[in-house]
Amino acid sequence: MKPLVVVTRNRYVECIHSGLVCVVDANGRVLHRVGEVHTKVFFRSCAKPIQVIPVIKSGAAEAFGFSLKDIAIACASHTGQKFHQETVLDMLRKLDLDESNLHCGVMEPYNEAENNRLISEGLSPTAVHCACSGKHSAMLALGKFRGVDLNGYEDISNPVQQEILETIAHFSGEAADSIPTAIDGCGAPVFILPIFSIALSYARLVQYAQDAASEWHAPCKTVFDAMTAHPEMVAGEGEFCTELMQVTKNKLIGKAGAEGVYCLGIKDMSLGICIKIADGSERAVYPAAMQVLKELDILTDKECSMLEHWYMPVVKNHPGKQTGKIIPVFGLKMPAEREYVLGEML
Amino acid sequence: MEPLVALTRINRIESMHTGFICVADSLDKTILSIGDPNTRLYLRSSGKPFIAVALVNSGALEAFHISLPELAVICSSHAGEDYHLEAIRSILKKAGIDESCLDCGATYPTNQNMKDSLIQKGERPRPIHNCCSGKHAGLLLLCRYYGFPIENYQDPEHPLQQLILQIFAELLACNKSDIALGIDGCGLPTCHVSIHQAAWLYSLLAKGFDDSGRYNKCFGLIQKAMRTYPQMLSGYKEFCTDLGIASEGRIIGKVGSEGLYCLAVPEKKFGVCIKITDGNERGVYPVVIHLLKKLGALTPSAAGKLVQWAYPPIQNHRGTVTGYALPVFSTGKTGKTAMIGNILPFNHGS
Repeated sequence: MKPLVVVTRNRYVECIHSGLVCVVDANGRVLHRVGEVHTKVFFRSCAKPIQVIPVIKSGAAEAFGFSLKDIAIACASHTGQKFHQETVLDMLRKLDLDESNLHCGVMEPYNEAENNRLISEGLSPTAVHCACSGKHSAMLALGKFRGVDLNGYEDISNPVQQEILETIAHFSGEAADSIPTAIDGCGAPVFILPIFSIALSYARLVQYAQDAASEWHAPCKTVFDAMTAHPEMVAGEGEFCTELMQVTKNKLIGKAGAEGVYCLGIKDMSLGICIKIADGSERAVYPAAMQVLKELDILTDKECSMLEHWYMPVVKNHPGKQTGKIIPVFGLKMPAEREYVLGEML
Repeated sequence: MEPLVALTRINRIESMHTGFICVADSLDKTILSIGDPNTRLYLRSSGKPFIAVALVNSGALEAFHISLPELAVICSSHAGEDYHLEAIRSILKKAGIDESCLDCGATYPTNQNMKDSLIQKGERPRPIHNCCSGKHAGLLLLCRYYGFPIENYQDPEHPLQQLILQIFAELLACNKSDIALGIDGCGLPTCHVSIHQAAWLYSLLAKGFDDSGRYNKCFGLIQKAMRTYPQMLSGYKEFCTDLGIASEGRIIGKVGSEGLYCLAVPEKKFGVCIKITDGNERGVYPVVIHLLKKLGALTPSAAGKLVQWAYPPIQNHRGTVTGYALPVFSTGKTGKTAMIGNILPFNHGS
């Protein structure tokens, strides 16, 4: 696999992150790629903006009075800050359910201040702190709306998950019965798809959002509007997805997934982008995403400068001195001149 | 770059770690290598036992009555548990140096309970909690012994650092100017060496007193300290410690940042260097165990005690095991290349 990002220490390459990139339009034309686009990867949390679509399309979101904020957190891997917790609890109240109905499991919130608060007050994290609690609340809404057994709502055989799988199949262009599934970090099904099909899902999402004639127009527009209107809900303070959508306003949606997956949907050109860092490292994801956005001329100079710290993050040591940088080394329009090797001087 | 470890979810490969391996014996013969052994890397914390050579060689240990567990903590990346901090405070006290002289930077201890207890008490972490504070304490002791200034002891031009660099140059049979230096996570210089050179350095540690070089007594003592006090090398439920305990001191392992791991196997006089290309620590331990088994360096009983490190389970937030980190490299000539998205059923025996 091709090196996408290197980490330097002083002038030498200390680590290399390889990976895959696929850029497609809504017609399924591959515009740019790095590596084999039929490589199958786990969609992980990047699937959330698609997973929420049947919740909206079914009428469940409207029936329970979900706001755009609620939809945004259903698309989120949130960091468990106070305002995230309140939004999720609010969704559950609208469903006449509570935390005990969430089957996402319990995790320490990603937000350090909130996690430290829990530790210092001797409190345990709850299911609401879990990054996926918004998605699970939306799944409960679909289940309740359809009148199915909420006890196993996260099971692939449950009608809720089958309806979501049908939606994933439609957007990715793959037959539902040919999509392998596994169990995600939060216990819900995770879909295994070629990075091409994942990128296509995002291209279709942003295209339908703009195409009033499409039967998927309303739910896709709702997802796009929710994520771009409430980027703070999609991740949290100081997080890439949040800052990217805050800076670019209404231009695109971006969503991170575990194990080095990142997806983007670009409104104007109706482009879908999928990036996978082979080794799963998060630190390589954002420089790679920034490189793609820069090369495709999606960001203005001002936006670039506001997001510069994500493009080539500085590596500092414990005494606070800069020791290196994280640098994207691939090209979409022109292949990189050479392969980078470990230990070489940059 | 060779795939060394696959991360599975149910029965498919979700992520992969590639990397490098070199095993050198006491005659500097390469026993085994995966990837180009001339690839260069920073020694990072795996360099600590060789920094300790300067200390042992000087006579400072005897002069300041430094004990073997204290020598072990000087070679460590410790987890910041109470007994680590006590050993470090004891070194500083013997040298008559104040804790505030430690210039490694303040970090939370790696041990979760120690970290939580600081947060609960509303205390900020101090430099002594930094996993490198043992090494820094050792260096301050050496400054005191030689009468070097304490100020800027981490500067590559400081006489202390020049002395250490001179020892590295001697061990690697090169000039000081041949070794490029980087700045480590704790602010000290770190040597840029080849993977083969790193394995060679560890073969010296494996030989210990049996080495014919002028530092054999140093290596003998450092080996003894690291073999006898594995809990000082990292900490409770940490790999270097578990490996030392499970192997009953037959294997010395020392982690370095960014996916580096080095081993000394005294019985075989082997030195080993492993580097995970992307720097992810989770790729390191399955490789170490798999390699040690292939080298015949791990007894079945020791391997049994280390099974959680050999095939670490991946759990989701609900506690369900969804996959494993599995070694996928072969030490022989044949071997199927593992790829992302492919099916890889888990089989302990493979």
